[in-house]
Amino acid sequence: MLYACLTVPALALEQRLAEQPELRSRAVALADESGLRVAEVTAEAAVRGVRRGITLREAVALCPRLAVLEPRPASTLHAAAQLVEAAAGVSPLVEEAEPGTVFADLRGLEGLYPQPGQFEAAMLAAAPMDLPARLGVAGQRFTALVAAKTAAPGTAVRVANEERAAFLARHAVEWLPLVTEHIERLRLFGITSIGEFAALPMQAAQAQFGAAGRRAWLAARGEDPEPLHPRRVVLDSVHERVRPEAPLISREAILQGARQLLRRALRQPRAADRFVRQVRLQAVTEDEQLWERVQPLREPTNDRARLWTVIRTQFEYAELPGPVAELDIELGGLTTETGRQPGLFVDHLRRREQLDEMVRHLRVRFGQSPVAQVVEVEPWSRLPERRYALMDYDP
Amino acid sequence: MEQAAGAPLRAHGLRPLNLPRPVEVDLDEHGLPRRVVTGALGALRAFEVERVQEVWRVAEAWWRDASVRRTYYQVVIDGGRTLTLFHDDEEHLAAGWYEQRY
Repeated sequence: MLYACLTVPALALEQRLAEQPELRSRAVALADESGLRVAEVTAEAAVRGVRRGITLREAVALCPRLAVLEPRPASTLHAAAQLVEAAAGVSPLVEEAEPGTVFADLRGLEGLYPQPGQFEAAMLAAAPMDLPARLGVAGQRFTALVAAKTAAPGTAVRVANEERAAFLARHAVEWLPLVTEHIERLRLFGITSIGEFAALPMQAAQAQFGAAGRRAWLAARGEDPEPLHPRRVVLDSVHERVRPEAPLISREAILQGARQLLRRALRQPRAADRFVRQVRLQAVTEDEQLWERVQPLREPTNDRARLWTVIRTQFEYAELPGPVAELDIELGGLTTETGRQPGLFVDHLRRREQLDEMVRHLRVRFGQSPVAQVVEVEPWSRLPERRYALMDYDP
Repeated sequence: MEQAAGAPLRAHGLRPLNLPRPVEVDLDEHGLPRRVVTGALGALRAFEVERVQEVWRVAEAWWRDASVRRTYYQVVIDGGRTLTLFHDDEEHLAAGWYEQRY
């Protein structure tokens, strides 16, 4: 078994620094999504005592020349997806452990990359150029992760199986897969390195931290039993995106944009005569806030009206975090199969008759028509409540 | 058709859509919305107005007694969402505020 770990530590911060490379050498902190606390810091800021979790006010008090950057979750997710694609371009079995850390199973790739270092070079070359990606290769997931963290940006570290315990032993306990309180408890016990933790009897680790302690103990010895959980097979999909010149503010404008995207997506040759199983909607606001909804359909469909109903409902009830700068629609799980068997002689007329019959039935039952239709009254009126009205549907 | 027993009486015909919903609005020193309270009793939500994006006036049938005169305000509330509010100009500035999708 051989695993690779491709990682960009502090991806959200690195992604922002890639946009403003002049800040790399400065003391910089990335704010968390609430805008109150420090999420990530550069080495220069860490030297001045700025650390994760403290408030921005404290951070600025510690380092008055600190540059504070706002997070851009949409860009971070985009960069994380690029990293996954880089790994997936080399190995078919890929798992994204967290945004910015991707594992790949290297089984069976020896034939493709026979020379030492060939595989590492291919994966690093596929990683985004502007991000300092690091690669670790080892026989276990945790060892590969530690190897990646110790690699210099743009380089790889490969740990041979017989060296794994010695390699892990010299690193700090903070890298163990344990929660912060457990790490602090280990420090109180005077255990500072992975090697010291691995030297404990397994029962002691398990007694202190339960199942997590056992897993961490095995990982510390290079016997990490955690297998790779490859991501699901990517379903075939069509994708349309629009970046309007001015951000969309009104819901009507967003709906118009979405309707246009749906039309374009269904016109793509790949979507012709195929059925959609899942709709994914994304809106990115002016300040890079991300809103996302994934709606699997009860049965596959290629009916534009049905798809539009799904999309419209999602946007109508959406609490969008701000004016929309980018709108994205993905019709996924394209299939040529559908579970629906339409009748040979069912047409629109027949459907209308069924609807009328149903409404008559409901009127008898409830004493009034529970179905209404929207009619135009004064669509030109400047008073919105006079433009349209509901009228009882009376077959 | 015979009316089912217990069926509620209801006016048939057209029911307007997008009717304005009353809201409570606090004003700033310039008479512009500063804070909006929307929703029904028991589920009230208050929003701080970040800025007033647009103001426009609507006067319909101003030559009649039953005229409609409104001042609409498109405001950006916290979180970046927009609300369209209007003030019924026939009423005192402290009352007569509504929310409506325009």
